[in-house]
Amino acid sequence: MKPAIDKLFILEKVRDSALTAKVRAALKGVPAREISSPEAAYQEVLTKPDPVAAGKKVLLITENQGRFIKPCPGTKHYTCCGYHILHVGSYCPMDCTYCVLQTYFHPPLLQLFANQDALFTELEGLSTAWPRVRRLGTGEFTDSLVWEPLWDLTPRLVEWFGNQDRAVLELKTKTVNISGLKGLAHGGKTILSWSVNTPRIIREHEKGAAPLAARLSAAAACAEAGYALAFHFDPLVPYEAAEQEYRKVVRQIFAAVDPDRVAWISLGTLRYPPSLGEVMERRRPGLTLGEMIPGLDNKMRAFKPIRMALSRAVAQEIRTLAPGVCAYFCMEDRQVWEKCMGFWPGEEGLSRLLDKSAARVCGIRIS
Amino acid sequence: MDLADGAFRLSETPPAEALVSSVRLLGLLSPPLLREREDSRFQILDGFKRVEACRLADMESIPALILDKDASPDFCAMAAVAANASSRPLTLLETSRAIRLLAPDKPWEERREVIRRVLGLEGGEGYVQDIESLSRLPETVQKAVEADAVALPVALRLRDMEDKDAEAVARLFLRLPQSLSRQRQVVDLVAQIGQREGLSPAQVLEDPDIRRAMEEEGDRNAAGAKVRSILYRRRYPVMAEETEKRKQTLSELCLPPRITWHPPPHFEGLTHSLRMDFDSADELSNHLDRLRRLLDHPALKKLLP
Repeated sequence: MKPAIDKLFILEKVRDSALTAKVRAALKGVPAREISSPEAAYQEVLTKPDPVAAGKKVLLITENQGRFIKPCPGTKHYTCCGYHILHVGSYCPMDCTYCVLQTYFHPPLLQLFANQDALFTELEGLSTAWPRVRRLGTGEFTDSLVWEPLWDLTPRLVEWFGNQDRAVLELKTKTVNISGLKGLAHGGKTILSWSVNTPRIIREHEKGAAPLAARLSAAAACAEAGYALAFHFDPLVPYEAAEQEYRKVVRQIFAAVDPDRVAWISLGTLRYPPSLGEVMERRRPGLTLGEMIPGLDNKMRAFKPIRMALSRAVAQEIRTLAPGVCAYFCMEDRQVWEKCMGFWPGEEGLSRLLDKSAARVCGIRIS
Repeated sequence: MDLADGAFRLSETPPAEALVSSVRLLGLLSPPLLREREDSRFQILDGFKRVEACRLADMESIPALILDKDASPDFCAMAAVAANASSRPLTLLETSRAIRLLAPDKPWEERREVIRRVLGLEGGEGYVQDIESLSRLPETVQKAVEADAVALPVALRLRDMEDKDAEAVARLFLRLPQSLSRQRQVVDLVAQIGQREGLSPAQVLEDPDIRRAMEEEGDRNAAGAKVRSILYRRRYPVMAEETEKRKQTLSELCLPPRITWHPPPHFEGLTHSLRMDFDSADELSNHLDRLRRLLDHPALKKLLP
């Protein structure tokens, strides 16, 4: 499905880029304006009564002036997985209540970066400049596959990763835009991953995203095409029937795909900075009404006994159905790990654990 | 004189007994400001309490200052507000009513100047509108604001509620006065419980335990704390239960005086801390002995699993 863009801004310096041509062709009929600085696009969003919603319909084609490869911004208080972000674009046209990007980017505005050659130059330098980078993904600052109708970056990335054996590319999505992945020389080095949630949370809080069953069918199709898979239970939202419903999602996953194809499954309970809490309350109230407390990183989190109970239930279900799959917590402390997973990998250990899993499922060299 | 005409009334409080006595003894020293209406009856602009005191003192005629019949409504309003504001500091609600009277139909820039010059109030449009809105709140809420039982920021939140809900909250604070931060806490809890349970704030406050706490005679601070605790337990049932359990476990440790245990706030993080106060090496030594013995205490395993 094509993102519903109302207005297109193109930075003058990238007007002749390949990306600009592709986006213009894909968004024929959408008003487009060339601008000398991004300010006009920012104002288009900031002057609207609800910039968070307005920004999901305004696309700026621009350049990434910083690094394309960035460490995922974890905090020292909780165990981080040492992931690296491929920053290919910003923000997301889907509308998930809890999405951190709503307050992460100022202003919240869809951006795609046209200087993709610079991205590949950075990737080429990976083996020397970034010796510890094993897992990279495009799905942290935007959805990895939501832009497929507009660009061809993903196949280029998949084939670039397919030609090396030191790192994996993770494409994290809530869409089913997988048609462009068929027939690519992926070499097993790309992991297709889906954020999953219960049908109730998807229905109420993931507007514009694909239903669970469609995500799982897409995952099965990707596994069929030889891709590795991953799933992210993030956020796990505590509510009355949450344990049973999340357990059911785990069962649905393993009814659809072979556990041997799954590189990892992450669990992360609902958490948000207070500023995002205000946006959530204003735009779609409900999620902030659980028993939330300020965490050590100043993000609001579900009260620990509540999130441990839910996490333990999901982890147990995964262990029962797929004991060999690497399940891990995104940003949790030692106590939660030990009580729910039965072990704590240590501050540096989680990164190694996931690297090993990538080596096992995707065949990368980690020595 | 039309005593029922309160178009320019800023204060709802009746005249103090002392004013009535003074009028009885000395007569009216400061005449009220009136205006003759089209129907030839007089309308009070300033001096409602004095006129009422004279009535209570059975005076049949009083001296008065009377504005020209053709004085414009805006001029009368300015005169009424200026007369009040120059004689005493206005309360928040009186200020609100005064703002409502001043140039209500003029553009903001012009109005701001009138408000500044007549009332001496500086501030942006939003601030002035906030104050002005107070006198549109339901009567019980206005009464609570006037009695300082509802603080301005809380009154502004009640403005967003249905009248019956705002009144229910105001009745609670009139009965059990609380500090601003506690008022905020109560309003947050009531609103969140209502949102989660699909109830209006008034319905939340109909909880029998809350009603009982409100009706109890005795220590109102304790009753206020009880209401907050009832609301907290309803809003955060698991957290309240776990906190209670932890309190119980800590009490099982039987820590001696001058040693206090501080678990991680909100159960987040793993670091506990102990504080020891001592005045002598002996006391320190005793503390350390007690702490060493604590290591074998079964309650410690519950606290540090």
